Amino acid sequence: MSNKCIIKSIAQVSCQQPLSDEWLTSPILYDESYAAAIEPNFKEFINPIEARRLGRVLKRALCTSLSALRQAGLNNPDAIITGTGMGCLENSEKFLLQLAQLGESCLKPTLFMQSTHNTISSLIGINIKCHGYNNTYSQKACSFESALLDAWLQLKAGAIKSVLVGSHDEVTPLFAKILKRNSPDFKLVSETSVASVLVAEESAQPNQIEVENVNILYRPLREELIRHITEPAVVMLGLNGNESNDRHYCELLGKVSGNPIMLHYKPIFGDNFSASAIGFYAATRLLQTGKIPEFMYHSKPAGNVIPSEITLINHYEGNTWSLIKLKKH
Amino acid sequence: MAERVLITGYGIISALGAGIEATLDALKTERSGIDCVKYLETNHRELPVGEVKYSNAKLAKLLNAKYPVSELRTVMLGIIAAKEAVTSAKLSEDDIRNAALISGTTVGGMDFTEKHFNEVLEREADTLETEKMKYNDCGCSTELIADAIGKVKMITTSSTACSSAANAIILGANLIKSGVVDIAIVGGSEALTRFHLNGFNTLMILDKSRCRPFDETRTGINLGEGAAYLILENEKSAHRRGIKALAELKGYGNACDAFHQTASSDNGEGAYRAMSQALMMAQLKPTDIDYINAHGTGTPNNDRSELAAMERIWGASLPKFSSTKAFTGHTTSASGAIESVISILCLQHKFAPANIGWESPIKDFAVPVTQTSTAEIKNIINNSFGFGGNDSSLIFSNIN
Amino acid sequence: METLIETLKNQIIDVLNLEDLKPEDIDAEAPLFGEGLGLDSIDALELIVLMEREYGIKLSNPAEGKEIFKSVASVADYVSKNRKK
Repeated sequence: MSNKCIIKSIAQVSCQQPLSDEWLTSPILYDESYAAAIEPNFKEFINPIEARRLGRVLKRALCTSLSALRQAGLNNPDAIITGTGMGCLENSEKFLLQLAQLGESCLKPTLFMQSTHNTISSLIGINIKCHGYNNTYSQKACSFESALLDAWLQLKAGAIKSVLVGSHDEVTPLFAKILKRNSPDFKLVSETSVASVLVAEESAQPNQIEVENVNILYRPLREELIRHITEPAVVMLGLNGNESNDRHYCELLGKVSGNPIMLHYKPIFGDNFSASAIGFYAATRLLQTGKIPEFMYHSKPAGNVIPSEITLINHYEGNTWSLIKLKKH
Repeated sequence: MAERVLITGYGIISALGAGIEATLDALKTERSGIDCVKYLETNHRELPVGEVKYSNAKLAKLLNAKYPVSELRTVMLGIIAAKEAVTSAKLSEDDIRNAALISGTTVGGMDFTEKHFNEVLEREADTLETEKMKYNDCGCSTELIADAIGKVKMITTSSTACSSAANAIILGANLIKSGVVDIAIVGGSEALTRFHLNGFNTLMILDKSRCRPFDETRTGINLGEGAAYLILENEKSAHRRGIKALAELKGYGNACDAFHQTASSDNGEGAYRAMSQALMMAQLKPTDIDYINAHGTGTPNNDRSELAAMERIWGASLPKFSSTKAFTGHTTSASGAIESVISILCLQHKFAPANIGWESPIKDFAVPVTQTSTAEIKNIINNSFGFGGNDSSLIFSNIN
Repeated sequence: METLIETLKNQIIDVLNLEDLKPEDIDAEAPLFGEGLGLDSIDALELIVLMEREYGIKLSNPAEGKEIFKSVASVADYVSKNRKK
């Protein structure tokens, strides 16, 4: 008998108002192709002695994590599992820059210490004194799903009862240039920090959002992918306005039965390696509120839709695919 | 009844040489792979390191690798070890098609990025710059390793510094127990880079002589590099394929020390919890453990903290224990897998490897294995403790 | 010595990212570690780098830092006696 994986709380920092659902009714629209995250009030969560040493991705991760834990009324989860595509990119770049400019002496220890990808997850563990399972995944645009899959499997197996799952990525100006160079049609590149508390329940209560299924597939055949997508009513896609990215979704959806309604989130929240986490957050909010804002539709259907389940589909360069099914009870 | 997780194949490359045989030989003859820097382009030539004794050009030739793989050391080391593991487990294309590949790395393609970072800065964004940064991230390395061994079902990358590979092994085991896959190719790969050699140097925890884990005079680590992979498989699949298991992954634990980003707590809380969890999962008593392959980096802090944690579990009756990092160097993200392979070799060939170079005991604490000794070994704990307090322990047991 | 103390205060604020502090907020005699500013072992490493970069003083053992970095005054004293730049 397997547990149900329920979303207890979720928080975000992005190029929309941080730690807020204001984007649902008044999204900030961007003309530029790069938008930095809007920082929350760090002082509310982090003391100055600690904050002084932390780069932005670390501060954001602490904020969203502590916010999610507060919302869930939980001090100490059984596990902390984190995804990050590029880790503490700013610190890594600064250290590389120092190496290039100063050679191999007089380098700053703090930069190195906080350049490893697991700095984020362990920082949260240290901050809330959590001795539970702690892991970090870095698999490009599938980092969040990797963390989610690990969490989901352990919750369902009963190995843990609660977990803080998150994904965090910053985009430095240099990296933004490179992303833009790779994909000149990019509509928006931005930064993401998402944290969510998931819990194991024997059965789901009404209005609870369940993570019903998580799948990661590498270079799957079309048939393999479709086998994992069971007639969804609503799909949330990682469309980003770049033809070479978007065509994979269109080709896939063309073969999926049921004619699902297609939603997108990257035009609002921007793109980066943790963007699928913000898609997860957005889908959760849509299910909770029962409303889909106009700007989330890839193509608007006739009439209003009250979603009761959403399938999130994400891929990177058509190679690594992830499928997450969320269901409202 | 929980699914058993068997090990049906393994592969390794490190400072001790390429392959299982070379590794076993080095361990038995107490031949260390630590030497001065030969391949990495660094000014710190005085630092002893455990380099794989092949240049990138030689590795590329061995693999018949083309660009970009031929420029990516972490990837090439990973491919060599993963291929050996796949061959040793006699995996067919079909078996691989339904397997997961989970790899641990922190460095990824940083060796390539750091060589070309100057160019990246000097030019405005153009194709050259994009190309040179493209292979930097951890996930990229895992993709390239996967592509070299066949078409796998799913991949991901665990990145928890020095426990990355151990955590990759844990996820692989959980995927098998949950029925997501029957087979998981798990481990890690890490190449030496100026980035982390200098990084560790700024933390002042590198030893200027060969490292001496658990020795009173220890002053730090020697960095190493390498890769290793295990083939994890459930019983049904192993039986169907007619393959004999090398060992069983009987238990594992992952806990957070939650103390400091670069130091372990005095009482080794994370280590204690990780080892305790592993014992509980394996349904073993502490006295059932015959040998501990310690994390034993040779820093004053780690070794003392790890001993404290071991004492909390075993009291005065510590089993045989040693660190093999004076053989291989500290292979960081790959260490969990490299030392797992070493642990399995110990089970198969019934020996406990020496803590080579050890001379003086740490006051009030137990003494490690000082000479390679034959021993009846049924259960081994292998510890991997990463920066940030990411502590993992794996228990490997003899197959009855 | 006065100028050196003032310079050191500014350098310490910069290198340790103590962005909310001004030199006048730091008492030259007050402990830097433990209580006082509450700095830790990583800050000690940063100060070691500062010693080498600005004053050409190489500390090979982090344990040496304990006495030297007791307060800004003790750092100034050590620097004035050992500086190579």
